[in-house]
Amino acid sequence: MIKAISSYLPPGRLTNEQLAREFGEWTAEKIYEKTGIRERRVAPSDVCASDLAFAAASQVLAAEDRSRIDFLLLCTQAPDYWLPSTACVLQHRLGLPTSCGALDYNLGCSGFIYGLAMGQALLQGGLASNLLLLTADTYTHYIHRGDRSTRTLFGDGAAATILSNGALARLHSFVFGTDGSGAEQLIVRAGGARLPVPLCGGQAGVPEAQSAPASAANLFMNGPEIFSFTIQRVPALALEVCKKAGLSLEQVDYFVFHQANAFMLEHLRKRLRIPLEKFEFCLEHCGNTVSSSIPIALESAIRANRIKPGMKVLLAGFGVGLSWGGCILEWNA
Amino acid sequence: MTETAFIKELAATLSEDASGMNCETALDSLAGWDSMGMVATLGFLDASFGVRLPPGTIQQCRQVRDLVALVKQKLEV
Repeated sequence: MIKAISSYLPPGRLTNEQLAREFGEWTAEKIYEKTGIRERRVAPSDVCASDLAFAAASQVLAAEDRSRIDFLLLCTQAPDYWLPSTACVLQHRLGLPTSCGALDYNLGCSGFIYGLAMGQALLQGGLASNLLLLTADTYTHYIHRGDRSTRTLFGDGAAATILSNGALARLHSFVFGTDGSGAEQLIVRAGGARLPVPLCGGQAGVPEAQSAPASAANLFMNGPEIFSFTIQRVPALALEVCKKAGLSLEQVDYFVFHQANAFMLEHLRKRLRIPLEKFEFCLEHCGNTVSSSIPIALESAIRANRIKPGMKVLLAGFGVGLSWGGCILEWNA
Repeated sequence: MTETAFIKELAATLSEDASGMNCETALDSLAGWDSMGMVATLGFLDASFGVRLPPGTIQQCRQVRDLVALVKQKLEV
């Protein structure tokens, strides 16, 4: 189903050295030890997630006949407008045919898995034959400048994946899960219909000063609760995907999880007793890129030949929602 | 694991000096007891004792002894 993947990161960088200068209490090396991240890529305030998606899509479409793309799915939590769907804007901007279906869906760290599942369903149902799946987010635009814990983790980025029948990678054994009772644990409260920005008493975007009060338009993350959710759900998710695929965990050749932070990934790796050489870490130079972290990691692992033809790869996404999903990808099966 | 060993491990988890810590130590007095410190502690409790806490529990801990009690309570169930 997966034919090609290409990712795009904005050129701006927020390094550990910059963060150490701003916050004082941690050294650059300490931040790296805690997160596994040395720098995050940051889009300027006038660059939207759709601009990053456009760049990623332009790369992956360079080798494709655009007139053959018949469906566009865009996963983002930073749409250009309340309406229309950003996917519609991108259909035109990318020069895709008007016969192309296009829609946005709002998910974060599990979004790529859900996109693969919906894409596969559209292909297998005969509703599409060449589908462009875009993931793009600019979480840094929501983060308060004084929020050390989220500023150290999140970076901006986008990925573009082409799905088509008979392509190099086969997808199967999807497992999904949702627990909306945890919606408050990772949230931007203002900006939607429940709390429109003009009514929220704050201002969207990143305030200039650390000392400026955080507003409901800023990203809030309850780190300990998100960690607890992850260690509760993700090992079970991995085992359930394996069970559905008729595989033992040991029979899986490689694991690509959502790149939340190195501490969390290492904890999951050890809990599931996955050998280090079978587990992808890909966040040192980009941070946690939300819905794009899995395709960015996949692209990196494929390019570096860590994922080889014939391998069975377990993908797992988890986070905001709370939402999770996993599947098996068989490369060049 | 003895209480002394637990405190030593907790101190290492929070990048604190174990010699200055005991059961009465207020967690809020530790520089390492921030959001990431709590996450690291949750990881330590899970990895060392298989203890996974219900939502909101760790934020209610005030002293080191509260963490010790949580582990004891979970292991006795």
